[in-house]
Amino acid sequence: MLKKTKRMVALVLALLMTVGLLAGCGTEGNTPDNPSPDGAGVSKTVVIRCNEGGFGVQWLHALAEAFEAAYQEEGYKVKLDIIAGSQGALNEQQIKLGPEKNDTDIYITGEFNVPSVMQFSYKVMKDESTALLEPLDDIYYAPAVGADKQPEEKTIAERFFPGFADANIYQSDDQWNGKVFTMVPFVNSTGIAVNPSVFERYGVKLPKTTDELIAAAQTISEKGKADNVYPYVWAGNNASSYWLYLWEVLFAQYSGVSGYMDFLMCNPDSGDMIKDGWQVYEDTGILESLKVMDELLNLDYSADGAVNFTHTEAQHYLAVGEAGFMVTGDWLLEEMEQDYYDEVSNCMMLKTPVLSVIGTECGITDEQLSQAVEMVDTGKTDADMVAAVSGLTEEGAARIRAARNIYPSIGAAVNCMIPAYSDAKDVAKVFLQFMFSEDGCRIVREEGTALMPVACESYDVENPTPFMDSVVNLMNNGEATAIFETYHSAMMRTRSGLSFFNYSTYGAQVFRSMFMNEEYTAQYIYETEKQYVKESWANYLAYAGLS
Amino acid sequence: MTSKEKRVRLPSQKRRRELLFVGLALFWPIMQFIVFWVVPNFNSIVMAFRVPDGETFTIVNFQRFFHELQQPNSPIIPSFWNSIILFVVNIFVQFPLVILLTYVLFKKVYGHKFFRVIFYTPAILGASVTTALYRYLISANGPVEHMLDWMGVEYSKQLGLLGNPETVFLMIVLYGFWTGVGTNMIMILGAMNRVPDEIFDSARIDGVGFWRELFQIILPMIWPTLTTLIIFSMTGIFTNSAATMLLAPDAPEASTIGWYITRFTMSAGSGLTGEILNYPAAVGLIFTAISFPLIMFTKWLCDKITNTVEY
Amino acid sequence: MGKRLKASRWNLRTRQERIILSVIFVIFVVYAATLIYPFIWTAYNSLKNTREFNRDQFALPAVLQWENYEKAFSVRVGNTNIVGALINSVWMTVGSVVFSLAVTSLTAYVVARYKFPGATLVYSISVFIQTIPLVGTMPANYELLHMTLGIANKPLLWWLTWTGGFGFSFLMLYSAFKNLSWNYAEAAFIDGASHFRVYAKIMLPMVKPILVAMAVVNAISAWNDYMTSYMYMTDYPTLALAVYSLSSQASRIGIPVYFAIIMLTVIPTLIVFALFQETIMQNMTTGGLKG
Repeated sequence: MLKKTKRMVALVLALLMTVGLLAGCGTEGNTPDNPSPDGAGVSKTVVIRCNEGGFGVQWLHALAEAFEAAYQEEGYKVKLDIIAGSQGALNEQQIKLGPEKNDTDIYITGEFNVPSVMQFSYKVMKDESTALLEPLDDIYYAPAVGADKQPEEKTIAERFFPGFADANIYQSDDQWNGKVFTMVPFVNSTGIAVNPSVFERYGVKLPKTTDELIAAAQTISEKGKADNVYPYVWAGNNASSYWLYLWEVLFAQYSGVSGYMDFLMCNPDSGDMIKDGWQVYEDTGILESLKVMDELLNLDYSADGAVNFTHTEAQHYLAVGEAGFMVTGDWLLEEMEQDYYDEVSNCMMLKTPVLSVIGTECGITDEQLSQAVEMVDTGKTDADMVAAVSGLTEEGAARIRAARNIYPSIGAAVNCMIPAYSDAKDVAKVFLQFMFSEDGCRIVREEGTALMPVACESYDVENPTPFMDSVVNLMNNGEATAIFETYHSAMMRTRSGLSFFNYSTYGAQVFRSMFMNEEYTAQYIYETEKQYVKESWANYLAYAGLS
Repeated sequence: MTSKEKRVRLPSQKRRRELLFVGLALFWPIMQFIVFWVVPNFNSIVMAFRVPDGETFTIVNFQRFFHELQQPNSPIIPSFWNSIILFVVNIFVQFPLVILLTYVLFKKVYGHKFFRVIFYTPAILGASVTTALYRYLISANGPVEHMLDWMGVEYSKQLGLLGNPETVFLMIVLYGFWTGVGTNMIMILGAMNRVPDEIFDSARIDGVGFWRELFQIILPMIWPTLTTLIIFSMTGIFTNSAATMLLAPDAPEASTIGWYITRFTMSAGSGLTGEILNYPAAVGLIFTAISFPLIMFTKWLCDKITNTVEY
Repeated sequence: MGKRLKASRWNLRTRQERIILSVIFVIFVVYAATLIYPFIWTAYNSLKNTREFNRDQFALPAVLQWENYEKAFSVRVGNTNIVGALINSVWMTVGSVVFSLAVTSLTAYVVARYKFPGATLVYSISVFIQTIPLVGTMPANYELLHMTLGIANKPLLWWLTWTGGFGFSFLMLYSAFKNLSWNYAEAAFIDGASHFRVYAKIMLPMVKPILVAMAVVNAISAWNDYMTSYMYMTDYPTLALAVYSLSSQASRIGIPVYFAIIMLTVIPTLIVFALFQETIMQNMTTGGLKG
């Protein structure tokens, strides 16, 4: 009896395994796809690799369908290779596999370190002058082509939002400096997301200056206590570094986008990075922005236990109106839409309040600053502002305008790129032209919940949500400037591990420390940080291999 | 052929056949080991001596480690002590407790079969599920907080149990207790089951009590198994990171060396933070160098004790 | 019959024993409750709809939403859905356990039983390798498996990675073989049996219970392994990968649906374990680190 069962079990196991293995070899793994009848190794099927990240892939399916429909005559096809989980590092490995082992034609991926991958160009392409990624200059500086297959009026480059356009230009000390290898498909704006119903409930206006922001937090904290509603929510378990998105904007507001960029690139006033790079940590913009964070970051202002919320848990509080705002990104809607569509679509991404100390330096009161900001938002000119606000100069108005128009983005975090050895290069490029056309942008906007960083004639879609409207407003207004912390990171930072905050335990957890630790005042962090970087500068140079 | 010649030839022929068998049997596993383990992992040792430009041999990563070690706010020393504490608590508190509990199960207390399965469920569920469940248990206004309120224990609701720097490491330790019973339990149970029945029968006749039986009979008998478990625990001293990673990744008070290393490895992959793999590779090597002699010493110590018992 | 046995066992216990057992029994009950409760919580929450869940995480569902399970099956994971992931989990688990135990048991037998130069070394190394924190091996492994050997994403070749001979199972089986009595083996040798016959027909069956125990334990670990699928078999995502990768997107598919997926991952393993628990408990042991 036992022997029979044993035999049965063995048979079943063997069967299961065979079935599995056969099923496995039935579906094609990563094998090169069928070449078209006319070309040797030229394919009409574009294989796109993308992951199920915060933005979902619904939009990609829609794009693929529309593309195939438009190019039915030519016989172009799209094959989607959707991966579970974030795959940036794996894609970096995959692209180095070369033409024999990798049939991906387009990568739409985040967390992909372009400079470090380009270093493998010679190893894979075996040719001194050929880069591992296909140059996209010929489509980038040309007009996009939509469903009607007609070139549009403006070139893609012209339509790109400023800042994002810069992200597309490859910067490095090798021979391909200045070419275009990547195109950024998503704006990924980040910043303060608000639930306006909470503000309305307690009679608080949406803040335009940082003083107003802090006052709003205080008011909601007092009035909302009885209702268990808090000014904001944050995710201390795994996302306290999101506060960076607020901090870096305030910094850029104070020191200007160029000041912020100098900080990123470790580019001191003297211009000699090797010798003086550490001086960028002395920028007073750092201190001023930290001061605001200091006042804002208070455990009383968020729900009990927020110190250990994960990001998804925190978002729930915002969506249901138990918190007034949180620092997050425009993927909020996509992540929450399953069951919170109504609530979250009524939330908004807020334009970052302007640093109040700017008002002080311009010689006006905070109320006046608020007024000036309002005027920027409603499209008034600098001259109008000078006239309406007593004590404000042209310079001041310009500074306020510039500050108001900055928004943070991790935008260059996701990139589209084509491996140079792709066997469907030409069709892939046509796909990208389609994706970045007016038609493509509209499809992405309709099916996805992120914006593409290219200006479009209209973003008219059916039933726009307040949320998406606010995102558009944040960026598509002609004057907005994005700042990023990633793509423009200097080689220095990329190689040595030098981050924004290095002295305190775990760099970016400085904001978590500000919550938990009285000692971590703005002044303390600023002083210790600058001292530390100055003393350790030689070490960082060594880590980066630059000394 | 005389019988004498036959006897002379037999040992060497037998030996040759033996060695052939051994060689054939071990050929594949050793080749597999070299190809799939040694080759890729050798690279990680090499990486410790390089910088991202790829080619030069340098000890910069080790220098960085010692430099970071000396910073006043460095997470390295606290992480080191946390790793050690987790190990010590595991061996000197959790272990004896599990032995006692397993012994009771061995004694077939009422419902022991049911309990055996239940206690093993954390191992079955896997870390990502158990940590999610644990977080729920100790979350704000969760069951544990309710119980603490009922008991009148003071704690900060604002920070919560996992968010409070003073209690976060304790929660990590307790998590280890909560999930750590199962795997050791089945090993120890297996060992107890192999103790010959005659010994128990004669102990009963001699009127040996519960505690004497445990300490003077069972413990020495299962000592080799305990040794293995202790050694296994030691191998994980500096690689243990799962609890911190899943429960309190951003809390410096809960960090372990394993997490310190893993953290760098994870952000290195993303290309966002500018981290590189060479540094954690070097740190990993340093702690391997520290833990290996420790393990060998412990093994020696345990073997000495083992040699006093043989069955 | 069972009841009478239990009653008599209790009667046979000394008073001291009864007191201690009772105290610890209470501890057991409490501990078991802490393990069962979250599990049940996950189970009944998997049958709520999301709004109900977020409103009150403790309450029982008003209506049992079995469609959550339907939804769970169709959740997208990589190129396939949960059903596909389930199938992948099954064949990867079965394959890895069968192959690895086949190779490991022979390896352990040879190292434990035979004297040959390097036997001690082999054993020490197998202990040593468990101690090394392996950092930054991903790029090297990736290159090896995708590029140099090209076996990633190819099930018909991937089984090669399952045929390792050293690891935790090796140490367990090593001890098991070391502790066996060699009388039968000696007799077989005298009768002229080959080494392999002795191994396969005599020694291996003697450690069968341990093999079963290792098989179940390894199966559980393979079932829960998401790394392999994540890195090397991206075209064949497993349930474990789904659980891992969906955890951060749980609110997108709905947390109750996510719980349903967890249930799907967990229940098979629980059942298998419960069925085999006697064998496992009797036979998981190591004889110590001799040699």
